[in-house]
Amino acid sequence: MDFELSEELKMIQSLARDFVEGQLKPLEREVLGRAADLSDARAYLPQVKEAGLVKMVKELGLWGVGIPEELGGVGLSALGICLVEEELAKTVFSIVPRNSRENTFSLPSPTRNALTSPWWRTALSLTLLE
Amino acid sequence: MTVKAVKQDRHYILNGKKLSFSREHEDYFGVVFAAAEKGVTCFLVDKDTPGFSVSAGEEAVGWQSLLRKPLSLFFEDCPVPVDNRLGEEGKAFHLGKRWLPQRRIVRGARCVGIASRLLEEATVQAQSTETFGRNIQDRPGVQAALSEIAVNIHAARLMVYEAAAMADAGKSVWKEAAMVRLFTTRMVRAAADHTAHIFNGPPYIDGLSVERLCRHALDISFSEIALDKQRHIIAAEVLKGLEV
Repeated sequence: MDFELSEELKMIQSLARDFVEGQLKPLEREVLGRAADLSDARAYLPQVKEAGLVKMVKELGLWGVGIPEELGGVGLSALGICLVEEELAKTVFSIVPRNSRENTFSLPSPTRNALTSPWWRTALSLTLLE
Repeated sequence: MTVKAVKQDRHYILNGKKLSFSREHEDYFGVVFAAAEKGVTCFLVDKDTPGFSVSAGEEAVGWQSLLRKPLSLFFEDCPVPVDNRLGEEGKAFHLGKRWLPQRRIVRGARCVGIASRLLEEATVQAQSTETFGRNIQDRPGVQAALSEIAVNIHAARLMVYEAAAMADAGKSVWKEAAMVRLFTTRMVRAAADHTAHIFNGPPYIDGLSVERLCRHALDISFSEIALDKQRHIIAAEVLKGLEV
């Protein structure tokens, strides 16, 4: 029984881990703090910063990991997707590849009653089209 | 299933009402399940289809659209081209059979991620908090909580990776995915609970990462399919003679 991840998977895992540690976690305090201050309790990343992050995610090859290559995704294996998603879940931000040009790095609605709101990253309906 | 689809030439005519629509944005289309002659059928309905309207609840764009809002969807003689049918007529639920178990495993991976971060936060908190002249990391209750979280993360991760590897090997992961989903969901909620106790309150303070993470932990157990359904899947396998 081999519990060792392949070199390729290890590489993907550390790409995602470094991105979350280096880029997303340092932003948490700022964005959450701003959300807590605003009366409507909404938080946005500055557009410029967000665009930069999106570009970086694409360059790293973490954009649409579960979407087949033919459809513009990375087409990772199930284990590969799990490794990436595990790392991404370690931050309060979410990455949502979608056809919308804005707010790709997003925060859930911080309304007090939103505790149970399912806001999580979209399981893209593209998977349906297989 | 109150929405009916009646086939007329090259179209299906949809009639009825639905509640809740997730992730709408400017150019959205709906993945609509409706009752056709041969059974429940899945359709892609474009936003601009005549007879299709949305009300009660605002149309949100951007990150807000990640929230499921209580929207009412109305279909009044709404013609959907036959080409927009997803899969075969009456076989809507067959579509998910292939990808749903995999999505459940991925959800399990997210639970593992959230719990690892919670453990990280709880550890820092335990190391930096003093009560009655003693660091709380030395207290047996806190150590029990930290070890509990750590062991459960490890167990959950092994389950997730094994199930994912099985899926990649082309094996059926129907029951494994159910087990992953059931275990990891409870695991992450317990981790949030332990972390909240170590923090002794602050998870409720707005602006802290741990507050968000505790929400994620709660939230993830409510999305997708109910836990009882996972239990049902597992129990059915056990009753069929599953040996574990």
